Amino acid sequence: MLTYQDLLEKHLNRIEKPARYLGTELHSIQRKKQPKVHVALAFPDVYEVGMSHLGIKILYHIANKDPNYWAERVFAPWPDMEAILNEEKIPLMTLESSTPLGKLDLVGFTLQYELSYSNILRMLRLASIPIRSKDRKSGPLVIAGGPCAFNPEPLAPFFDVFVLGDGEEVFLRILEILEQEPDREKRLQAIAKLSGVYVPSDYEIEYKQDSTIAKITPEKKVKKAIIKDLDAVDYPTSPIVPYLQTIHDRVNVEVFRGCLRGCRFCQAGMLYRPTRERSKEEIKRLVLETLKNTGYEEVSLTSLSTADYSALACLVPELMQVLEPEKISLSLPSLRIDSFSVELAREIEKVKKTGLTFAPEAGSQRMRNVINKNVTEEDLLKTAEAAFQNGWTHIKLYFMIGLPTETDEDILAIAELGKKVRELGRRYTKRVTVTVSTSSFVPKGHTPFQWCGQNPRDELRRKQFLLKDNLKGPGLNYSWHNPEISYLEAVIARGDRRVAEAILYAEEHGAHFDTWNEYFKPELWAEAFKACGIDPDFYALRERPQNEVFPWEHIDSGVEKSFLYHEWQKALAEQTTQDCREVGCTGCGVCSSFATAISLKGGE
Amino acid sequence: MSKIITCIKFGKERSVSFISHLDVLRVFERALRRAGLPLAYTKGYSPRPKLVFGQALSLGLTSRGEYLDISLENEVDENEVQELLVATLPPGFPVYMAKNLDDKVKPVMAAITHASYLFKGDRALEILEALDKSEIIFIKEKNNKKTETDLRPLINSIEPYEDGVRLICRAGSAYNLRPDALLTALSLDDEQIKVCREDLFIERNGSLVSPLMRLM
Ligand code: SF4
Repeated sequence: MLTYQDLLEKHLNRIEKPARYLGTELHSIQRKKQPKVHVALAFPDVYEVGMSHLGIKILYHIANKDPNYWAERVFAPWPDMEAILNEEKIPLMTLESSTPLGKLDLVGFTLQYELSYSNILRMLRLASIPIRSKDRKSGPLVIAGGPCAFNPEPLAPFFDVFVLGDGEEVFLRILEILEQEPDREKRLQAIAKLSGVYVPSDYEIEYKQDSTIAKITPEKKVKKAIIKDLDAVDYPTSPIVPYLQTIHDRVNVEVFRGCLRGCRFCQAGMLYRPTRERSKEEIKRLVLETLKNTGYEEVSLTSLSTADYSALACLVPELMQVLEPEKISLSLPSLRIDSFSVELAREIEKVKKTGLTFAPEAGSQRMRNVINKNVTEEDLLKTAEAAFQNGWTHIKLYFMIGLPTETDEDILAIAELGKKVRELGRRYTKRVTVTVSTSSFVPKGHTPFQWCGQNPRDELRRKQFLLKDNLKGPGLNYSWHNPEISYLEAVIARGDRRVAEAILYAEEHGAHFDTWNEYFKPELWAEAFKACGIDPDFYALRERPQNEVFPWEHIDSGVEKSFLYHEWQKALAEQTTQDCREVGCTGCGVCSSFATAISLKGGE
Repeated sequence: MSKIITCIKFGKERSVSFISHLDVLRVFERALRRAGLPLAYTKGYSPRPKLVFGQALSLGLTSRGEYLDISLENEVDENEVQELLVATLPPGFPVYMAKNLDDKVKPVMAAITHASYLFKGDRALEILEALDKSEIIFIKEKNNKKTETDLRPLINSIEPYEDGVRLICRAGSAYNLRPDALLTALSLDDEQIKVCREDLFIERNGSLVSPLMRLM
C-alpha cells in the first residue's frame, strides 16, 4: 500500500502544499504497536483550517494520553491530492500512519459550519465507506460532534451517532466502549445509552401536507453533554505544531466556555450556556507550559467573548510580564466595545501593533436593541477615540445585514457610523482607515431568531449596494459576503432530513469546498434542490409560526423554547435583555436543566 | 554585551524534504525558542529572531549540508547549542555542528559561492555527459516570456560517486545552478533521479572551504 510519503515522492510537482500530508509534525502521535482502539478525528476542510480548530486538539490529546488508544487526524484532501488518490485507487487515509479510514474503529467528524457538509460526504466516498448509515454493516462507526450537531437532521442519514455539547467526557466513554466491545452492533447500542448521544435512526419524522413537521417520535429529547468544571478536564499543553502556517498558528488557551450576553442571532451563545471559566492560575499554567513545549511566538486567550473573563484585568498584565521579555505577543480575539478593551489592547500591543476590530453588529440603536447587542453609539465612538488617541490608525467594524425588522434607515446608519468613526480618527491622524465589513444574517436553530425568515438574496444585494454607494471616500473601505453562500447556509442550518438528499445529490455532482469561492457552485445546489423536490426558500425565507415543530425539536441545549420565543417577541418590541451575570437569572432554563450554575472561577 | 553569530550545519532528511524553505524557517524559530537560547531580535513592532539561511533548498530535495546563522545576545558554548538543537528540533533535521563566529563575518547567505549535489538513480550517470557539451541551454518560461540560460559555465566538476554522480557548481545570489534546471536541460527530469545537496562552500584563494570557516 502506498503511503502519503510515497504519493508525494511520486507526484511532487502536482501537489501545491505537500506539508499538508506529512503527519509527522512536532507532537503528532506515532505508535509502533497496533493500538487496541484506532480512530480518526476528521475535519471536513483543508489542513490549515482544520488544524486551527480547538476541539480536535483537545480530543486528540485526551484520546492519545492512553497508550491503548490511537487517535489520528484526517482532513479534506485538497483537489490536487484528491485527484491523485482517485488515480492511484487509494482510499482516504489518516495522516500519521497512512491507514485507510475503512480499517479503523471509528471516524469522528467535527461539524463547525454547514457549508462543510459536502466535504464530509466526499471524504466518506474517498474512503470507500458507505455513505448512508444503514448501508454500513461493518467497518468504522461514523460519528459527529460540534455546534452544527444541534441540528443534525440534514446529516441524519449519514451518521450512526451524533454527540451533543462538550465532547471531552463522552468521547472517552466511547473509546472505552470500543475497547471492551468488539461487535459493531453492540458498540452502537452501548454508545446510544451515553448521555449527550443522539442516534438518528432511533427517531421517526412525520410531515404535514404543508411540508412542516407533524411529529417526531419518540418524544424523548436528547440532552447535550456538559462539563461543569473546566479545570477538571484535560487541556493539551503539547499541541501539534504544524509545519504549514495555519489560520490560528499560535498557543490557544480557552479561558471559558459559554457566553451570557444573549445576542439573539448568536447560536454558540445559546448552545454553550452557562458560562464556565477556567481559573486564572490554571490559565497561566497552560499558557507557560504550552509555550515551553511549542516555542510559539504568539498566545491567544480564546472564548466567545474573552473581554468578559472575570479576572482579565489581572490576568493580562501578569501574562505580559512573562511574555514581553521573550518577545511573545498576546492576542485577545473578540474585543468588547468599551474603554477597558482599549486599555487591554494597549497593554498587549507592546509587542505587536495591529489594527483593532470591533463588532457593533448593527448600525442603528433600534436595530441593536432588536438583536440585543447592548452597545450604544456613544460606547463605540468613545472606544474608537481611545484607540486613535493610543496610536491606532486602522479600525475594522463588523456588521450584519438582513436582520429581522431591518429597514434602509438601519442600513444607512451603518454607513453613518463608519463615517463618524473616520471623522473622529481624523482629529488624531491623517492616515485613518475604517473598514466596514458586513455579513448576511443567517437565522439559526436554538436561537430567538429561529422563527424568522432570511432576507432574499436580491434584497441582500440591494442592501450591499446601498451601503457601497454610501461608503465611498478616502479612508473608507467596504467588504461584504457573497449572499449565495449565506442563502445555502440558511437552507441547511434549518433544514430537515429531506435536505440530506439534496446535499448528497450536490456532492455526487461535484460540490465540495463550498466555503471556498473558487469551488462554490450555487447553480449546482439549485439543481440539487430541484432534483430532490425541495424548495430551498421554504427553509431559508419562511417566517415560522409560534407552534411550529422544528427539525431540531428533540435536541435539547437546555435553553427552553419558551425563553427563546419570549426573546423573539421582545426583539420585535425592540426590548433588550441584560446579561444574567449582571442582573440575575433571566430564566433561560439551562442552569436548572443541568443542575449547574454559572462558574466565574477567574474572579475567585 | 557582545553579540555573536552561531552558525550551525544541519541536514534535511527525506521525511522533511517536503517542507518549504519558509516553513523550515519557522521550525527553527520555534526550536530555538524551546531551546531557551538568548536570541537576538530584530527591532520594530514585530520583533523576530535574527536568522540567516545559507541557501533555500528546493522542495523534495534532501540535504546533508545546510547552514544557518543565529544571532545570539551572548556567547553560548558551541557544543551546548548543538545539543540543545538536537533535543528540540523535530525528527528529520540532524544537526552536525555548531560554530561560534564573530558577528562581523559576512552573513552566510551572502558568503556562499558553490554547492555540491549528489544524484542517484538509474540514469544518474548520464549527467556525466554534460561535461562533453560546450553549452547546456535551459529554457525557462515565465509570463509568456522565454529566457535561455547556458548552464555549462556554472558547472565546476561532475564525477562518479557511489552509484551516482557528484556535481560541484556555482551557488549563491550572483550565479546559481539549480539541480532541477540541469536535469531539465539534459532531459533527465523524469523524477526518477534523487537529488541530495551534499554541502555548500565559499571560495577562498581558489579553493572551496566550509561556511563554518568564515573569516572577518
Ligand atoms: S438559567 Fe439563568 S443564570 Fe443560568 S444561564 Fe440561563 S439566564 Fe443565566
